[in-house]
Amino acid sequence: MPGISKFFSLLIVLCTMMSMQASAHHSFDMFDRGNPINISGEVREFQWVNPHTWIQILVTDEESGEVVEWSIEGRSPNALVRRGWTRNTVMPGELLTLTIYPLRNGNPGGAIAIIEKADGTIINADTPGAVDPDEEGPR
Amino acid sequence: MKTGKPAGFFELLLVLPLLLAGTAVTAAEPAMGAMANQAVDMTGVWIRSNRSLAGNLDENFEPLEPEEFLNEKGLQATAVVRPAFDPSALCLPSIPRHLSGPYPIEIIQNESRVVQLFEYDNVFRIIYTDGREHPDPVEDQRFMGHAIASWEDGTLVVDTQNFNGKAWLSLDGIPVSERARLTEWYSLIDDGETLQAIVKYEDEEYFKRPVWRKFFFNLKSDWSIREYFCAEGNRDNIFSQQPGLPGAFQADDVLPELD
Repeated sequence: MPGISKFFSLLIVLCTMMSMQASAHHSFDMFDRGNPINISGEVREFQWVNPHTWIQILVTDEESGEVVEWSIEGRSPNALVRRGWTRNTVMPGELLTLTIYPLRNGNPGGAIAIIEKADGTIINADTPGAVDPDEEGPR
Repeated sequence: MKTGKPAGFFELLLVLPLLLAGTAVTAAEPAMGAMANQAVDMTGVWIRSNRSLAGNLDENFEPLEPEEFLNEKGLQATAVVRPAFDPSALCLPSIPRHLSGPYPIEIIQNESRVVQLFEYDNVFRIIYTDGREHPDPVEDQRFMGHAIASWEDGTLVVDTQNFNGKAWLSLDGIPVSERARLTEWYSLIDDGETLQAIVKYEDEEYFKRPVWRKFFFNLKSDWSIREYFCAEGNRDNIFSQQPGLPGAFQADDVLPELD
């Protein structure tokens, strides 16, 4: 299983994320959007539920070898399904690398930005690039 | 007899004005004096456009600072905001907040009411156009308020009162008091492809001046609203968190600090 690796992403798309609209359901202040990190691991469960989807992912610490379950919050099924997602877009057992905005309180959790699948497929989970730039609807 | 067909046609001509009088005009038709109080067909599925001007704005839709529209009590009420106490994080609805949601609104209507079906939280809002008044607030208070409306020159003018004092205006923790009053002007523009909603919000309890918003909603003829039950997987309700499912909010977000 790939180990945890923290680094600041240089992806331009993340810079544009800084203007991301807050969720209507709750504030995103608890997430550190200025310091995205990458985590890699095996998906334990993808929860396709409102008001937010959750990727439960098992991440092994490279130094200690400890396996920690992270809870990664995503947009609602209602928002994602209109961007082509289904409840099977992320499957249990998959190996993923996630770019996330970590919880400020240090707990193993965060908000999803980008998914990279084992075959290299990139899914922009909540970035302007995830939707038609001409789309008039909210992101 | 051969008179049957002409007689039927003649009867149709007599009835036609009556039929037209009960038919909603379409958006493309200009508002005319004779139609001053006539309904406009706003049925459809609408999604908020990024052109919308949200936030707390003045009458020219320019942003206001909290000190410019909140009175002393309003500033005090928002001095410390506990996100975990946000009614929205507890899956409770409110208006005008639900107009800002990232989910579509379906409008259905008849001669006595316009109904907004919000995908966001699966809530509905009945706007009565049958001339009734607001009920006694002692008997009937609501998160979404009680809405009555009239048609004025092709615009639906909605007056909403009877709020229950339990909602927030937005994420910034401004309470919606029992004295709050919401006025909305709904009209169709862009040949009926856009629904415009001008919103004026007043609250003598916490505000010293009204705030305004201007929403645009795009018609999505090929969309249907979906189901959305917020309580299904809400980890932000710290009062019902399940073990093993660390939510975004922690106890520190809701519990007062200890001395």
